[in-house]
Amino acid sequence: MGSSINKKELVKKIEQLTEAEAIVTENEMIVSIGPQHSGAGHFRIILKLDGDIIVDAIPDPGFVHRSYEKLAENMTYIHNVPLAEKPNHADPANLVMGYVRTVEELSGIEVPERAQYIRTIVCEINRIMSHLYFFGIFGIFLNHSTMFMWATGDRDLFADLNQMLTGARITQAFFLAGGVYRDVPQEFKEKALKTLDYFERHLDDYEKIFMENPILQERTIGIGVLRPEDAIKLGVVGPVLRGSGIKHDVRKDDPYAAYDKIDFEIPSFKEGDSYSRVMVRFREMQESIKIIRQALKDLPPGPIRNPEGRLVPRWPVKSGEYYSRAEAARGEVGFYLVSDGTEKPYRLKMASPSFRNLPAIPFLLRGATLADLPAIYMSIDYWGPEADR
Amino acid sequence: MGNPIKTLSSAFESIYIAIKNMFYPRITLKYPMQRMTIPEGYRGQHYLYMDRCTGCSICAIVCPPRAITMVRREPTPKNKGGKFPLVNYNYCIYCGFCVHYCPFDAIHETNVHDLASYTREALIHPPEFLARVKDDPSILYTYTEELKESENRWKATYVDTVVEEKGVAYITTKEKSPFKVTEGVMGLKSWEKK
Amino acid sequence: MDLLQLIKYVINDLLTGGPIFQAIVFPGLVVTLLIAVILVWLERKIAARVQMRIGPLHAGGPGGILQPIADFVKFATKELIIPEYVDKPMFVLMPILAFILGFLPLAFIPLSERFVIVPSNLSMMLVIATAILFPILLLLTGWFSNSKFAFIGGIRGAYQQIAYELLIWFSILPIAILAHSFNLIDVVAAQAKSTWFIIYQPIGAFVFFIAMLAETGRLPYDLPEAEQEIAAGWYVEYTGTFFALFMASELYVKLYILSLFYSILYLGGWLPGFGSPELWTLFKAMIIMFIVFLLRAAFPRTKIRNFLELAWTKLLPLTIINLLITLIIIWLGLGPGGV
Repeated sequence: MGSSINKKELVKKIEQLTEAEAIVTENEMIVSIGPQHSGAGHFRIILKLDGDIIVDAIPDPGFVHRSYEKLAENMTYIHNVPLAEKPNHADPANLVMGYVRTVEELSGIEVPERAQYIRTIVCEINRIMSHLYFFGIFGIFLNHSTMFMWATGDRDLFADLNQMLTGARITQAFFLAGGVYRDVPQEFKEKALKTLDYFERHLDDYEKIFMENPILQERTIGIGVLRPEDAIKLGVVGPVLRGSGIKHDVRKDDPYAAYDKIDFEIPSFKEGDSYSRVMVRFREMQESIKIIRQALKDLPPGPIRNPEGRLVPRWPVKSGEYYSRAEAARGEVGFYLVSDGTEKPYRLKMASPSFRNLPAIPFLLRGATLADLPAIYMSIDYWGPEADR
Repeated sequence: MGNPIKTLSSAFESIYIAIKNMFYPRITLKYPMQRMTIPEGYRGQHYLYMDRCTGCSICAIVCPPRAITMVRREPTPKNKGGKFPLVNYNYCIYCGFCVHYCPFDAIHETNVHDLASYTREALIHPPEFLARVKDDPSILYTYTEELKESENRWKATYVDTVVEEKGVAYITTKEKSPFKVTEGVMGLKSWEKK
Repeated sequence: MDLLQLIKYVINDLLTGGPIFQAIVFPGLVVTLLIAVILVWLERKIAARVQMRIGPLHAGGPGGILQPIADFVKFATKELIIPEYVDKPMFVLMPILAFILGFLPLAFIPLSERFVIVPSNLSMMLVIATAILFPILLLLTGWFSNSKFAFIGGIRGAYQQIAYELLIWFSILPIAILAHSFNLIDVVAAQAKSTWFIIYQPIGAFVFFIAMLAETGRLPYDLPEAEQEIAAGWYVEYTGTFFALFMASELYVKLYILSLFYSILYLGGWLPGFGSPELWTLFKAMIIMFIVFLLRAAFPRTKIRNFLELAWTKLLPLTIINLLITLIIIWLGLGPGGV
């Protein structure tokens, strides 16, 4: 089981890394669910195990830090649009949405209606893609390989829709301050409706084989319960918050981009366990299908950029501080922008949803067993590059 | 486990769904024997109209990773300074900003996406390389010798996807291989449309 | 006898179908290994079909039929890594023992009345007795690997397999009562007189099926090798040929042996008297294995606590109820009668 030399060295290393008192008794074992492990993302958790029970969990983020915020200070506002989408490549359009909304407040440009509906369509397609990726990874962590294959297979169809509309499959960089870059092509509406019909029928199959699977239910119901008052104290966002019974969504509280003109609901469940967090994402996918159908039906004619005509390589700015937010698939992303009137921002801070959800991981893992680790850790949907930026 | 009858019935329903999905079409494409046709509007490698470019450098200003540099060539009637863009594909992120922001519609994007080379220098394309084909920009493919051999051996077909009720179906396009091989600039072989 | 007579005896045996021929060729080593090779391919194709994709396609002939051979060649050419702080002789001995013990129950299972390697009157008990050596091997492998993950996997495997071995024994005890003997050939003869035993004991067949999934380490019960939490569990330190020996013996050969056992006990063995009896037994075993592969694609993995609870609090009373029902059936005179 490892000689005592290794244990003392490891304890010293943990104390250096985390500046915490790592008191390890005789019965306990230190295991590192580290970055090179077939069961974790780009993220390291140091566990103190007593048999099968987790006594303490120490997270160690920062493996993929790429100094995104410092890079943003050296590039102009136009250049920062593809940079804003790079932390999370599963749903990039929502991150760009937050950034562009901030810049539009900064420069005071208005967005025409047709552009707002197109933005809604792209954002919802990206939300479906991100949730499908989540279902794939969640399935494979519980070793349900069928779910992984179906989810990644269906995600390809939505990447095709993205490509038809914007030209790129995954990272689109499609929004600019004042509108969007391209218009909806002719064949898009028919292909999108066919894809959505097929996907809605396939979601019923997902529900039966995955959500109502008795073994999955006994692994996730009642595990990792997060009470509402704890959720508010920890400051979690997104489906983690909605899974504990609190109905908070930026698309309803602070609406942007045609969400106030479209009729949809926000799912939330009051149990607060892993199963309700997963069901929140499932119902959000079904709501997204409804939103895309309505947006395609109500698409108004008009310009797609404001001012219409040629695109100018410099966006007008004034100095000041601005904050704006959007609802990404993992929660609320906020951009805080300080500008001093020049063409490069003075400070751009991105508050990513995965980083806000990080305190929930050690809070929920204390007292759980090792077998519950995938069910809890994946239901929070922590995305390493997004949290480390 | 709760109610045993409900558990058993949902277990059997899961198995039934697994069996039902065995008869749906499969989503895998047998690459490289079947390849997707990449439609118009895909953001790939660039194509430059040398007779429309005026050398205003907006593409170089607006490129986010600064992959475009302007180099000097012979002056043309429209382009008095003789500056043309050179694209470094080690850095290009295929965002398409240079295409959107060019006021003279001189740079387009094609659907070439598989650039591969043995050295880093070979990925820096000068303006002559970007203006290879005069007539139709959406046809350029570069590849290595082995891939051409295997192409002829496996007879690749080009497919299009159709989303039906039960799943994804692939239909093959009419022409088997719409390209023929020619010798291009800087020793690279390239395909041109027949 | 001296050497020349020994050689003559062996060759005579091999040509006429005596015990040595049966032990080595059919139904012993060679045929079992061939079937294991086909099973690997079949499992991947069935799982791929459910998951909307094509399985192995290019290896060998059409449909990737030589994919298991390609996998085996890959394993055989890898470097054998032996860690520094292990007990080296025991570390190397474990996979070899696993391979040998995996084949041992095959000596007592009859494929038809003619083809049984070691005929004995207690064959049912002997099969279980030789299969029970495997959990001990699991625990020892986890211990001798000298690594945390392997140790956790070994302990889990020991808990699981000991509980489910007991369930196997309890659920097949009524069959011995119904057939009035422990000999597997008599069991099939008793089924020839009345119907298949699965109709007399549906509960027993169900419990045995779940125990079979647990014994061979198949989803939804492959806890000792829980990849996502403990990185392949009890054989994490083994590479190359060792890994191939473990996989072959635990996952495929044991599955094949237990499916044969199931088909003889519950589904009538070689019963429809026409045609070749060995092929009927193999065909029924293939149906059971097909169902096992389908379950792999439809279910995730359970937790150790729920799993042991299932065994001790829910399935054990079911086997006792099964025994009582069988006794009532015999008392009422509806059984197959004496043999």
